[in-house]
Amino acid sequence: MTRTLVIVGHGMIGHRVATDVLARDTAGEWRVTVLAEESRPAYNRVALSTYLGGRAAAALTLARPDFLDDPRLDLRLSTPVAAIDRDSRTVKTADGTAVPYDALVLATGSRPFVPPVPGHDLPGCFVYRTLDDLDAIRAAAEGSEGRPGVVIGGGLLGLEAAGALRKLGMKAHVVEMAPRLMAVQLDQGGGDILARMIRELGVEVHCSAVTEAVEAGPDGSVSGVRLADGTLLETDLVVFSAGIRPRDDLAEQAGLRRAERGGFLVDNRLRTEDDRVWAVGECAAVEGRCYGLATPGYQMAKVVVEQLLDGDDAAGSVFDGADMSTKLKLLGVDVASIGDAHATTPGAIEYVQADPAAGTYAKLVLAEDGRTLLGGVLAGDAKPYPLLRSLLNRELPAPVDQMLAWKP
Amino acid sequence: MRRASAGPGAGAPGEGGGPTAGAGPPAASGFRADAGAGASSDPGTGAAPRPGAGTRPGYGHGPGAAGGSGAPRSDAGTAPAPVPPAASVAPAAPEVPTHCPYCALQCGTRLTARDAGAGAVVRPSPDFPVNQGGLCQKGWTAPAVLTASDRLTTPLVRDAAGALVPADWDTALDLIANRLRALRDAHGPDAVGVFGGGGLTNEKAYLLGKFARVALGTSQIDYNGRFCMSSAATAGNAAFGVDRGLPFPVTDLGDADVILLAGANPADTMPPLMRHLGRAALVVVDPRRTATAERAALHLQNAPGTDLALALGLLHLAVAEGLVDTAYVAGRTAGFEAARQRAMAWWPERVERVTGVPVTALREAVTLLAGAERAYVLTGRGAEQHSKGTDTAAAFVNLALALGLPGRAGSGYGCLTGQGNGQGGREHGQKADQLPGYRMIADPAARAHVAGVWGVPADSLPGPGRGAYELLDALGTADGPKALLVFGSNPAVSAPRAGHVSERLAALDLLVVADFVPSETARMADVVLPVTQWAEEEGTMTNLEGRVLRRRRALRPPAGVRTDLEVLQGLAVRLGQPEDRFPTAPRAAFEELRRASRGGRADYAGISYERLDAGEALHWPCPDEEHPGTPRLFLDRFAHPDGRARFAAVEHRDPAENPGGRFPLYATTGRSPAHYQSGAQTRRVPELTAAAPEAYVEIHPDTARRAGLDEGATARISSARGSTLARVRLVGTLRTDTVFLPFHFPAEGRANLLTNDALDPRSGMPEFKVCAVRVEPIGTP
Amino acid sequence: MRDGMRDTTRPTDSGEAGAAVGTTGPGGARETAATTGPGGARDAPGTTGPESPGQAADAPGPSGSRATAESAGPEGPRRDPTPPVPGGARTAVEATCPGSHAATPVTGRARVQQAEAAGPVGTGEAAGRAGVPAAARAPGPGALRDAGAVTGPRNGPRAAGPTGPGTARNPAATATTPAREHPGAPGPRARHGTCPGARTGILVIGGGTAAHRLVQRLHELGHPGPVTLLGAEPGPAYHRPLLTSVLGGGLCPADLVLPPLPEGTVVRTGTTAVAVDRWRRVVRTDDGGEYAYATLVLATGARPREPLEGAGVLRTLDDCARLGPGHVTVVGGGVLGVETAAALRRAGRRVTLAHPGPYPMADRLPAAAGRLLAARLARLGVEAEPDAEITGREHGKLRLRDGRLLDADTVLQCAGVTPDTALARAAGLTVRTGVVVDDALRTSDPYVRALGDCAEHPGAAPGTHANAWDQAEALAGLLATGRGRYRGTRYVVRPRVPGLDLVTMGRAHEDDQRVAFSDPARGRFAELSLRNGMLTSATLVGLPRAIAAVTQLHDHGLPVPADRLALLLGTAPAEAGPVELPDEAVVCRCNNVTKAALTAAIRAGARDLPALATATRATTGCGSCTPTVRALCTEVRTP
Repeated sequence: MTRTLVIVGHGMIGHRVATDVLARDTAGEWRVTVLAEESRPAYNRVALSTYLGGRAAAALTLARPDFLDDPRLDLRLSTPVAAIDRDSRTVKTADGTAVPYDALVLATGSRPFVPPVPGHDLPGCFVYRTLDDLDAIRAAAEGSEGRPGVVIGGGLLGLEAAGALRKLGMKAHVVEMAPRLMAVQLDQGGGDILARMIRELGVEVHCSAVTEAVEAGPDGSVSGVRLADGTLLETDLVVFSAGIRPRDDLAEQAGLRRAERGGFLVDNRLRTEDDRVWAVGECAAVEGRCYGLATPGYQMAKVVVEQLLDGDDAAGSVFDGADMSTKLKLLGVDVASIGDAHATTPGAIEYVQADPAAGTYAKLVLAEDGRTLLGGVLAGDAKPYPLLRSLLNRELPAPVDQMLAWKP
Repeated sequence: MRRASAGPGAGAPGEGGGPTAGAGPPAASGFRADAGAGASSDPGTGAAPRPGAGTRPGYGHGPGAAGGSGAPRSDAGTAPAPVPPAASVAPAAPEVPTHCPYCALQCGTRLTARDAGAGAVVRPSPDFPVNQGGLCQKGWTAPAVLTASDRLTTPLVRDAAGALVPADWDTALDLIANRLRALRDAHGPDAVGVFGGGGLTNEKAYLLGKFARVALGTSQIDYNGRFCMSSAATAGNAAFGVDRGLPFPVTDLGDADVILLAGANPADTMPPLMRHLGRAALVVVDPRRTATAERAALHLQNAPGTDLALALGLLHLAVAEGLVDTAYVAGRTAGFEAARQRAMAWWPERVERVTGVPVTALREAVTLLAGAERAYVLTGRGAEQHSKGTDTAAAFVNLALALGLPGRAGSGYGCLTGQGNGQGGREHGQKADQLPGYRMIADPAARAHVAGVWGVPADSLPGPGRGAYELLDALGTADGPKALLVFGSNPAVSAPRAGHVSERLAALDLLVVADFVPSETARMADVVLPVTQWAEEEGTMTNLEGRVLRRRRALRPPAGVRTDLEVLQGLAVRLGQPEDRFPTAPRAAFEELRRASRGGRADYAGISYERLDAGEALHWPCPDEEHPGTPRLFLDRFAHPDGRARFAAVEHRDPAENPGGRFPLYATTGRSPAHYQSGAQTRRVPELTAAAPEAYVEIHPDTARRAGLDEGATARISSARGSTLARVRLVGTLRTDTVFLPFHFPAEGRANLLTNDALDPRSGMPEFKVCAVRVEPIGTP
Repeated sequence: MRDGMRDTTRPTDSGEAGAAVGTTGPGGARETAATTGPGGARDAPGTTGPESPGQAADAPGPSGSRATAESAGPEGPRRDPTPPVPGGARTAVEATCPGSHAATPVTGRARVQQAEAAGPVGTGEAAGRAGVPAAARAPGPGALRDAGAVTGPRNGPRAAGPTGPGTARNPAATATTPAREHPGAPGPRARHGTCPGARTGILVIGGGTAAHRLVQRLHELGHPGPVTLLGAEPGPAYHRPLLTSVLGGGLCPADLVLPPLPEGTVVRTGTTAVAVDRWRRVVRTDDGGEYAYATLVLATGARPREPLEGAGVLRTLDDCARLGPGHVTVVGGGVLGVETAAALRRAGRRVTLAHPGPYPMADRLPAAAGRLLAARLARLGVEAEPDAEITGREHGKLRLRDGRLLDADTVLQCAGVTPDTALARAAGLTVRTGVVVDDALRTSDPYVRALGDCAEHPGAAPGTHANAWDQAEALAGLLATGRGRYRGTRYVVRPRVPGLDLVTMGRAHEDDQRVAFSDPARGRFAELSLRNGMLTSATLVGLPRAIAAVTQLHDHGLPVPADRLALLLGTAPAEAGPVELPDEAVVCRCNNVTKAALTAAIRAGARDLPALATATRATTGCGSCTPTVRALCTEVRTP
């Protein structure tokens, strides 16, 4: 007798749980009901900025026909969830319908963080998360030819947004509070090289710049961004991409515990305190910590699917915390962050090779023995990333110059 | 008779192309273990018992510790019956105790002859203290040379067409004698030169010196040991008044806490010596990370040619850190003030800049040495084969004296002699300025004594002649010798600026070479005389400890081969000398040597075959038959008249030739584990040529890459004097500005085609260890 | 005119402050610091003077030159009239000396006697040579050089002597005939010493390392002489860099004395040159003497800047002896300031180091290195007063611009030096910061040369010991053999503080490649800048082996080894070899696909990217692994 798996949220990770269950459930144990807030099925958010480059939305979709037509799947788009009744094991959608579940996976993702500065909600202010957001930005940027557009936030999303504005023909400004771009992933040296390369592309970079207020024009819509040091960036279009917050609003109502800094609190097997309710992806706070990248999300999905299908003998499968290494291309600039990029390990040694003229920067973080690799930062040339990534916590097999000259 | 001129790089006729002719019997080899250029072998030290407690009678006074527990035991155990003379022996089957033919350790060995013509079998002597049952790959394979396919068994004389053809002994000796007499009559006695070797036994070295001064009447005699020990000898004589490489048995090193090795690589060149260096913390000074440096507690890897600055810096630190043994300096030395003043200019940071050795390492070295209860400072060719080699050795003596080491029980200074009889060979008259017993030929008392022993008028003895390189450089020139007799040496390979030396050899009217295999020099000769090898002759050698050892015959030499003594007698008689003045029996020659050396600094008077064969361990000086010999010198006084050791005020200076411009790299030369000196012998041993088949050059991977060279490529290495070919070996621990070449290989593989013949003004030592070169792929124009 | 050593205004290598030199003051006790030279106050007190090279001179140095140059204003205070008493211990410091030898006071006279007796005794059993004592004969043909004996576009003079076969013996090795005048005896005041060899002689003015080394090398290179040396100080020359070792108690004054000059050198100590008559080629001295010359060499060194009224300087042995009691405040963050503070601590004194900038040597060191230096000094017990700009003194305390008051029983200022060019200026030679010289160390007058800290040459590193030695080497070669050039000396600043391994050298350019190493846990730091493989600048702390290696690379213009991490860690470079992804390496992270899995899939028939994506999901995530997967595809496919 088949059981019902209900997945709240059809983002990339929700979709991965659904596809994995359907693909591996050869015995037909589960029927899968997906309640999606957005009007579109799951799409590739990592490649979002290509959408503005003319790539059709369809090309981004992750949901392929064989998935959509699977008889065991009940995909309900534009169906936000209002509440969870764990006693009766039912989920109440916004339009009031109740959906019973034998197992519930929360994959609600996260929402862009908009700093509560005055004018943050004026017309002309946008966020950069969904395809709808991009549609709105594209509309606002219509006929902008060279007009300035300001992005608040110099992290991964901020630079993606700046790239998007640039593609839309705007003069992009990036405002970042930290002393460097990509402050989480890169160190100062890497950030500097990145900033230098981006400036050469015509993007204005403002680091250590705190946004004080978004100023309104006579018509009440955005006219500029006032920074703490008094400078005014004139613009009529502001994109907030200053980080994300996990969407855990259902927790309180459902009586599920939340982590200190937000997110459904789950253990290393992604289970809430209710053994029939899991949480995965950006909304999950695994042992209190949230993960904002796709890769850890996919690993979480794998752990949950193994529990759903293999039951007890999946006891060994746990989420041991993703290594935060990542390789990115931002405005055409390759950057990569590997393992303990900021040398937080006690006694760690940092070794840097930089060539400002060639626009390359490479840092290795080594253990006290000067040979074991703990982490690294690459900017300008990230080709050695897969090799370095694979050698984390292992001794360097060859001289450093050869390691850094490695190409796949 | 003209012989093909061995122009630079041309090598002797018949030389194969490529770095060496690998295939077939080694293209050319000289049997004699010639000290040769860059004989950077570090003579091992024989093993002797623990240093006896309390003070020992010192230099030249009173009996040594013959009877004491510490008496060094002889190697013979039960003394064998003396071996009957060569001619009439039945094929020898008993095991004969003798010593290895190669380095100055003179490891104790046991030889058993095989049936006629099949050579012998060797095994290490189990109880000889120097090698304690050990042998290196050269010792184990030494008998192979006895049956070398191209062994010389008949005199060769160059015919009208210029080829070396067999001749009988009388023809050959008559030809030589007549030519020598003619040259002497036309140009005077100095027209004939003699070139000896550190491999010759004491008897041969002694008679060779006598032959030159008495039979030829020439002052023009020197030997290849000039390229090996002359700097250390000069510094030793100046500092202590006597030059005995190790003034203590090598076993004393076994109890040392700290040993500083400057320019010595015994792990490669004298492996059994390492058996005595196991306990001590080694401090190694060497531009290369040698096998010895790998085992060191501290490796001071200095730029080539900066050992003197380093030694001055260590003395500076000893003064600045208050580690000088002031009581010892005040009581047992002289001249500290002037030496200290010179060292004051060498504060550690400055030494670091010049030598490349970190300040922390300099401080650690001095602290280690000064803090040790038993410490030694030993120098090898690395520090001595420079145009400032004597001053460099003197600077390390200064350091040892400042720390109160020489002559203190369990501590001391020493230099590691290289060749088999490097010590004995530099004592009994084959040096240009020397008479037997380490006497100076210019000293009237010495001349009177030796002339008395030789039965000739004192004023008939010539004065001092040219040093080795100057002698070779003068060959065939207007005021230089027109003829040269070469015994136990292969200068065409082992002399610096070998290309030029080969030209000088070719310019001679007469070149005579006594050897047992056709070495590169022999193949240039007008007359080649086949002589016996070590296993086929009796005699004595003096190892690096100054201990006299018996070399014993184990098998009969091939027919047609004579001993060196027989050759000398043959020539001497033809030159009008009475037969008994040049005995052919080694024992008789040694008896004469004893009398000649009596009262000299190297006094052998009390040493006899009987005492040695009875198993006594006898280190010179040994003034009379009751004297037990002197294992340890300087325990209560030094050999200078006032009993004090001398500091030397020496100052650092650059090598004679600095890299730069067309020759941007340093080249340093030295030995590889598999070969010995010119390689004339070892290149004839299949096992050793397998280990090191051809000339190679060690180079840092970066430097090689920049030069367009890979591992195993053939490189051309050029200096202002010539160029050589060698196989590339990448060595990551080398300095990027330095390459290393072993000097054992012939023809285009001769490292000495590069070396600089700038000489040390005090010792005549050429600067083998530093010259400026360029390295490029072969085929580059 | 006082020849003194340069202090740290210009970076000195290994901390020494340039040429060693005799003690201070023209023939007399040190001038009291307070007197300002005629013609205006010294530069405003309180400016501790920037450390960067050359700047010190632009600052308004003391306008009146202390040297009583002929045309200068009224003389400074009269020199002490009494002649230097032969044998009198004018300079020796009686400090009890833990050194190993009797601290015999060494005076000019005694020093000269030493010159005669000094030849080392070794009979030298050199073959074929009569036992001529080694010192009297010239050493090997190799020219004596100290700095950087190795390769590359030589930064110092090439071996000037002739090389080649058999030239071991030096052609002119005969000992020079002693001058008529007993060398070195300070003649009675009135008698006019005339220079013995009128037209062939070399007259050297100055008694420091440069002068001393020049005279030594002239002799060794066989210059026939005669050579006359006029030193303003009464006592013998000594190693100025070792002054801090005397302060620290390791050495005593007698240890510092330079070896005796060669036999035959005419030495006039306590004699100050007051004028140069370039037409008659004669030099007049303060005692009325006249010395003719064929070649005049100015080696007048430099004088310390004294911006602070009443503060001592560390310039001479007398300064060491005269150091006041109690708590010492050292003013000046240059190398000498750092060394002096550390030395005084070693001697158990309470020490404060006041300097501009957040840490000592701020003008030369990147922040991380500066912090490590400050921490090291703190561990030694030196009390730091950073960002200190001293505006003056108030009843014994030092007043800082920001109002702080520093108590100090004794104040030592280490504010750099200015070249002593009074004589050159008075003689009308071209002078800028120092006496301008060309590659032959020739001034604007072909018969007058200059070297050491008083000379100015584009490639020089004034104030460093290496500078003095290199120039002396070059000039000796030029004067003795006519060959050789001075090719400059590279700046290497290596403070002499036991336990502190720190060096800085060269100058970085904007677009240089950079290699940095930081290991805060163990106090280790390095920063190299390179341009096409060659070093342009370097700063290293706490890496002793790398410091030695990098200094040699810099000195000899060697390319930097490829394995820079091994260079900095002082380890042997790792075995170079082909580098491949290990099999268990995760190639596609999004789908956790390892190289082994991909290889297996390729071998099982997934020959291209789409097939691999289906088989293993690789590249279906973020896609960044696509190049690696594609490369693997081609690599595995071809067996």
